Amino acid sequence: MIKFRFIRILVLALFFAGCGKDAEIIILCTNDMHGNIDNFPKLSAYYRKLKVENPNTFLFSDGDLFSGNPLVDQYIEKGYPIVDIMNKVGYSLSSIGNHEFDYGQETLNKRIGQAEFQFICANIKYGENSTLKPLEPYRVFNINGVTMSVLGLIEVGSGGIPATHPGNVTGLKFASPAKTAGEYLFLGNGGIFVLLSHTGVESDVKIAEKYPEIDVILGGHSHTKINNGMVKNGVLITQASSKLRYVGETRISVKKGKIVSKTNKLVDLNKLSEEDPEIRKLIDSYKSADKGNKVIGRAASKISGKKQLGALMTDALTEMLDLDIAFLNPGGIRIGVIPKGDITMNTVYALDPFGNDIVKIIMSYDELEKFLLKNQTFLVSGISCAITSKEKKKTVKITDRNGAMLDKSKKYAVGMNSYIYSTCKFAHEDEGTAMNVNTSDILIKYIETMHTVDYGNVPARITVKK
Amino acid sequence: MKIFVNNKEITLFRGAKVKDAVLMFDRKVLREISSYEILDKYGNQTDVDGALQEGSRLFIRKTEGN
Repeated sequence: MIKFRFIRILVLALFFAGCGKDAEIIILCTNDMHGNIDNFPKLSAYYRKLKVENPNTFLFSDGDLFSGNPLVDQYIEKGYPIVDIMNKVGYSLSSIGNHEFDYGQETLNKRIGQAEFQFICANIKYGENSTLKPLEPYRVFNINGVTMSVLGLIEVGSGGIPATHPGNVTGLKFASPAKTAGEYLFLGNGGIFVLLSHTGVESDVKIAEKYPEIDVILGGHSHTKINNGMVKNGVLITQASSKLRYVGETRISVKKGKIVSKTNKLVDLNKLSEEDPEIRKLIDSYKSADKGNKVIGRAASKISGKKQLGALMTDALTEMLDLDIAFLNPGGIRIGVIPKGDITMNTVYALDPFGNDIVKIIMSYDELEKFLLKNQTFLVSGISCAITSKEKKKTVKITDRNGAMLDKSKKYAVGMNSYIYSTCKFAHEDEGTAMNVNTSDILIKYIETMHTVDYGNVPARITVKK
Repeated sequence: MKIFVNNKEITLFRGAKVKDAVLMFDRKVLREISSYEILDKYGNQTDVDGALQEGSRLFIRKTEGN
């Protein structure tokens, strides 16, 4: 309480110190880059040009730096390249996105330690079992005597955590972003109040409708392309699509301590021609060192055809994600064979180029039986299934890995890729939950864990007799 | 979670993305995504990897010239 009172007094003091001051501020903000680095040379050149014209130009990121490019995600130090590039481009601030947790808290600590810019987040609560080092909730900039306070927020999903695998956020709790924003309204007393909100546009609109004290919301998470910003309840809401295709440019004009205008536009980075040669050189060096051909394990014998490759891929899901059963569709297998010998990361990406998300559904025996009857060509792990068809009547015998009949009264944790979920109509009481991991990354982890995989002689797991 | 695509209610798994909704609505759209645009309820374009929330509304429109 005393700490909060002190902060309030400090902010008010800064505010009164800033009364009557003028400032022209430019904030460039990227969101949801997901490891896409190709446009950084253009962003860097653009930022430097603006910075020369107006020293009060800032470069922020609104989270989800990681997950989406093997060059960044599979680097020996996961995520290192993009943080390194962001350091050199000159970012000063980033919120934490849900995908910042994808490599685990220890790795996130390393990336935060590596960053020469600051990460902020106000709605993370740190428990005893968490390993994430506590982050500052906000940062205050003093610009020609005008204060600009920036508060960081992360989205919270229906399970009470951000969209990442639950194991990545052990020991952490997450408060409601809207409620948290309400606790920091005092930041609005001191000049400009900016929210760096990785919560999605719908949540941003709700926050804006509740708190007109906020001046600008720099948004992310929903990958929304808001062309010239949206004004709700007097709050300017922005978002710049995703994957570093655009940068949002927000201009705030302050006269005599009051905001007289705030505007936003999207700059299409693909349409810019000027590049920062130093950043281009840095990206090229990461690309030439790309470890796509890195050996991740070994095939003890040739793994050939959908039956054997499918067994490898579905076993990866059950083994690595603690699922009872896993299904994949045969159309998702895009190569015919993994030769005996070394398996590289590129082989996995060729085998499974889609990298679909995995969905977990709790299914009853009856639901499982109906699912199998409709999808007899699917690839499966965790069970074997014999379907016998006799005069329009079909009987299904499902056994577990040990050959024992499945318990009809039990419920089973079933994993499948999001493509199956969305395209196959099947009865299931549980809506299912995204596991926030994708099939190719799990397969890489499985092969790395096993060192040697042997699928040269696996029996068919679903058989149909007529 | 329930979301709406072109005002049609769709039930999806918790944590689903825009592409999952589009795929469930009409898989042809995702195959020919460059001929379509996906808008949110405010009329903003949304990327297929974007996150959805309970009650989200999406609108799929064929783009001009296609």
